[in-house]
Amino acid sequence: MEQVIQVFVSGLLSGGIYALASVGLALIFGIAGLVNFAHGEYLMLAMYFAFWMYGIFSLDPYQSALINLALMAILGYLTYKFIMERVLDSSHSIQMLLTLGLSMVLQNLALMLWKADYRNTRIAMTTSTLDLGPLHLSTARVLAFVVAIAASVALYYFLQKTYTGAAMRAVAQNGKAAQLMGINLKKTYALTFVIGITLVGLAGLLITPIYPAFPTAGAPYGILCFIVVVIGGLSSIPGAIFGGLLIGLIESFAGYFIGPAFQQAAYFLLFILVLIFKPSGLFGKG
Amino acid sequence: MKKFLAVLLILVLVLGTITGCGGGAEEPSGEAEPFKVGAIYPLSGANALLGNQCLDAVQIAVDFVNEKGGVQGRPVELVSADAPDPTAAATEAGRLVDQVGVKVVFGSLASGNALAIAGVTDKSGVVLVESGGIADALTDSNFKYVYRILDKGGLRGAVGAEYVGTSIVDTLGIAPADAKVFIIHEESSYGESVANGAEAKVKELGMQLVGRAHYNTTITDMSALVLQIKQAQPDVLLTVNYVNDAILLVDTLKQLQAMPKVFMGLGAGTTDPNFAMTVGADSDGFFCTDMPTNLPLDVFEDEEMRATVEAFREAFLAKNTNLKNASIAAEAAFAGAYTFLNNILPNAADLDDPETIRTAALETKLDMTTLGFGWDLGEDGQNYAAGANINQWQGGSVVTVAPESLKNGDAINVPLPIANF
Repeated sequence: MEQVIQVFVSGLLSGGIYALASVGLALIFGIAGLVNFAHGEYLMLAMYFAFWMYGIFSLDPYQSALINLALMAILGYLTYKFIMERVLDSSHSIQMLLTLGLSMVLQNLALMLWKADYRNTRIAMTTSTLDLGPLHLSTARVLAFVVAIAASVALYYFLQKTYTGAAMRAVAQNGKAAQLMGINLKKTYALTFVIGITLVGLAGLLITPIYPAFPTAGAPYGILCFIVVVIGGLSSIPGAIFGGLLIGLIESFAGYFIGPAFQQAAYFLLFILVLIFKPSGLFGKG
Repeated sequence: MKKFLAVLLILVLVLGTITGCGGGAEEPSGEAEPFKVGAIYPLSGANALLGNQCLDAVQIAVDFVNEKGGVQGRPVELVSADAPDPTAAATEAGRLVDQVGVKVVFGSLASGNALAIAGVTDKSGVVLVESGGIADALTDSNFKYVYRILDKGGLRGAVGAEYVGTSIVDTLGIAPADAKVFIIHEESSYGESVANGAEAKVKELGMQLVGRAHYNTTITDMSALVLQIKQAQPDVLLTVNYVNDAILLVDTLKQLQAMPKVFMGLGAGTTDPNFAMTVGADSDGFFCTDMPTNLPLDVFEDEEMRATVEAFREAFLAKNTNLKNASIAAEAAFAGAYTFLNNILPNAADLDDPETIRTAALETKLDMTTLGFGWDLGEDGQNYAAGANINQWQGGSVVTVAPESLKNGDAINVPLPIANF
């Protein structure tokens, strides 16, 4: 029984990170209608920023969080302004191809700048554990989970309770109507993209003590984010949170009871089932 | 505007073609035609660290051979290619064979890549000298021009398991029948081959196999796997990993308090210098079965061989200043390239005929290569003089603890001080 609880908790902890990485994608798609296949690469860049902050200034990822998030926000804005804004009205196929290309560019840029070496940010928290009775929890993963869920919930409340959030939701419902109501579409899209990239950057920052940075580190997370978002509902923030946690649990239980080789297969199976029986996602409308 | 762009595009293509034609190596009149060889390694992606080291090592081998006048008077020209995955490996092999015209390819670090390259080179009559991929399939697939200098995966796994069943059990004070072994491996042909060899030996020696699991190398959380290990409580963990997953495995074993008494890596990840550097002092006592590495120079009785090994180490460390020793992968890459260019090809009747190269490869017998074992190629392309050592991380360096003839230290930390059961 203790093992099962450990499996459950481990899955939940991983799921929190997946949720945080995915809510940004759900936000960008839900409000701006943009498909971003380079989403995982921004997580990778955040990991590198955190690594270099630690390597050059001896600031661990938590100490350099504000600087890193500011960098991610700037990067998000530049990406939106010079690339994504130009394909706002293009078909999703064009956006997918463009962002796939962007993904390759970012990976190879990282390779060119920082080589292919694994960049480990080993801090005290990397290997420390919280022992709660028979449970042994990685401190870094617990902190990542807590921050991830807090940030995801904060985003939800931002969208629900603030004027800017209401404006963003209005744009998501009907851009033209929102524009007629005086909402600046371009600024709203820009803000949406910036928030989305900043959130995936936060996810990257949180996993930096656990996982090394290397040029293709973001690729598995990029794919996972799409799976989470499809399962949860393409533009649903609660769906992305739920989807992320669900994926983490499925991965953990499948890995333990069937085998690690089936971890990915298990959630891909769910992905296929959702697409067949509820293509709008578990929290999606219609 | 469209017309302008079309004209510009045509102009760029024409200029590019001219440049491409003119950019190839021109043969100066009176000089021997270069002998083109290729090197296909992962220079980007997850295995790029070792891939780049392997390329450095092959370049050093080519430089050494050219300093001695090349191969049969022909200067060796090395063309490198990046293969982060098997698909890219096959594509690049095709390019080197069809467009560049290489006669020999050196590679590949990863078995998946090796198999992909072999599928292309073999049917074109181009030789592949393999110094990294140890999957059994590479020499079990009836390739005619694939020659592997290092040991087979199955043998690697068996050597590790044999050491456990004969030496480690004695140190632990348990009978082989009471020894519990858990095997985990990454899921490619490499991991599968090594794990199969290990499992067969475990059963042959009467040890208990309490679990076997495999995983995808893109795994980001090993909790489920490690909890399986914890449930089984093995005495010995035999693992086959690449470096990233090896580090993740060790971290997770420590966090979930599931570290067995003995941790034995069977090649690749656990022999990577980055592994010990990242894991730190806790790696002291981790075994890392692999080819002989960092052998003391007096192992090489032949003076020329000794000088070559020393020169290689100096040249390699000059290119890789962050390392204390050449990695095993780099040593193997050098050995494969240097042995073939220096010892095999000079015996080929016609360097452009793969059949004469094959004859030379089969007929040449060497007592020693720079890897510490000889060259005795079987019809299947496997070097049957190759062996695997039992190495162990001690103080950030790899120490060979078995066999007796090559050891340069004794095993320590059996059981591991950080063992949980």
